[in-house]
Amino acid sequence: MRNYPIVFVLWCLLSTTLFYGQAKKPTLMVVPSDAWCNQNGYMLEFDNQGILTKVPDYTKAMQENTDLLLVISTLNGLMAERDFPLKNLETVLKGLTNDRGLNAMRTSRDTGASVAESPVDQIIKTAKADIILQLTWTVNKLGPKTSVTYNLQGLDSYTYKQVATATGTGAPSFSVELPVLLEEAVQENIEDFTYTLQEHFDDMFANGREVILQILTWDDWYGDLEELSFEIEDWLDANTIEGRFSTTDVTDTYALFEQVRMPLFNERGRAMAARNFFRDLSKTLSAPPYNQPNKMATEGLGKVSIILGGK
Amino acid sequence: MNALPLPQNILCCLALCCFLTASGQKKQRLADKDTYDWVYDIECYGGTAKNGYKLVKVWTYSKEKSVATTQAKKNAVHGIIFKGYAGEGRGCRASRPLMNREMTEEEYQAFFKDFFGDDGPYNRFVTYATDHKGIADVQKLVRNKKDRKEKFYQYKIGVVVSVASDDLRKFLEKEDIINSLAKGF
Repeated sequence: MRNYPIVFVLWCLLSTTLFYGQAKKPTLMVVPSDAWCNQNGYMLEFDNQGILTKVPDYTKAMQENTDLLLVISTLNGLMAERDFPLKNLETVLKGLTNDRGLNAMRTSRDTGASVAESPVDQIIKTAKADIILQLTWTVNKLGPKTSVTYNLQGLDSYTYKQVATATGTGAPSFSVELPVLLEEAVQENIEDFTYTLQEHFDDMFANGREVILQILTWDDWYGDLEELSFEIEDWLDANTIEGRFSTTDVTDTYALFEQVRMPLFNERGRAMAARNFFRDLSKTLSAPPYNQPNKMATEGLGKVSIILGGK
Repeated sequence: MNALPLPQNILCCLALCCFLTASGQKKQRLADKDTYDWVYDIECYGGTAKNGYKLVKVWTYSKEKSVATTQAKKNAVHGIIFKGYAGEGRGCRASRPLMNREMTEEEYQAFFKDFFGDDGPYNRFVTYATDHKGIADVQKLVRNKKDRKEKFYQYKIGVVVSVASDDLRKFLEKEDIINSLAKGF
């Protein structure tokens, strides 16, 4: 009997450790910027309904530019050293190609059916990460001297905010080769980059993960989204950290809520991504008194679209 | 002159030894207090250090050259952890302090008292970068007394040292003194 308080304290400590695990870890990937791809001739051009459109050709850039490989490899190494290994763009691209080939060939032994893939699936299956590290460098020539201006931006894929940065121009040199200058630039700037990234993570742990909620409607849905948006705002106000969110757009058919600060863990201490957090909203809207059947679509850790009017 | 009897000689020698030891310890304590109070300057000494290392020049203040020189290593590590330094143009980039969280006085004492002890773990992360114990500059500081005469006050000694900043960061992360990037995930 006398040991009960000690046992209770131990149980509390153990349960805290067990139940409050680790938050969902965002994925990071280095990608050369559109500006760099354009300057170095790694763009694909196509006619988009009469408008000439350029998109970066990452595969060609990775196959031909060894400086890019060096910079990405150095960055990957430095981040892995900080227990934050990055997704490797080249490997992701190869993996996607392999998966596409395999899925096209797969058939069911029982029925002969092939793997289902909707047009949306095809669009979704691209190289992506929760935070894109957008990389740009330019080589500056001043007489015989060469220097490198380096710019690394950490961009949140869902909020579109720049969450980390490191920029700078290295010391000009007469004789040092470009790869060495690039390697130096990466090593000199990594500290600034990880510092700003750490600040972003600290903010996330203190104030919750910043996510996006999009409300869409099927074209056969006849409801009043403007009225319903007030109910959604009430739900957000009750469930976000300190009621933090911004209503950006509301129309009859579309609503956008940005800067939604969701908790990292649910009441049972399980780590949550945006889809876990908004599942309750989806259920609330489906149930009386709203009776709005809906479909929930997820993009990574931080974006959810709820489409009203059916699954 | 009559020589002192033997026991008295020994006693005098012992007293002198005690006095010198106490005096040395006092100077060392003062130097440690200066480090704790951030009474030192740290600046970048060129971007030539190899990857994972920082080459810095530390200015230490002391009445004793040898104390200042020894203390420079502690100050350099302390500076990398708590102070950081401003850059000097393109060749020398600014460095942020490794400490990335709030720390209470108790937490500081619990870890850093031993860490910065005379043979403490800090020694593993710092080396003199040049000969003669790294001394690059010695300045005599004077101050005016009431009678307007300038009098020697203390030395300001610049010492160049190399700090293994990456290893230091990993060590402090492992000891849970600073937050690692992946902490919480």
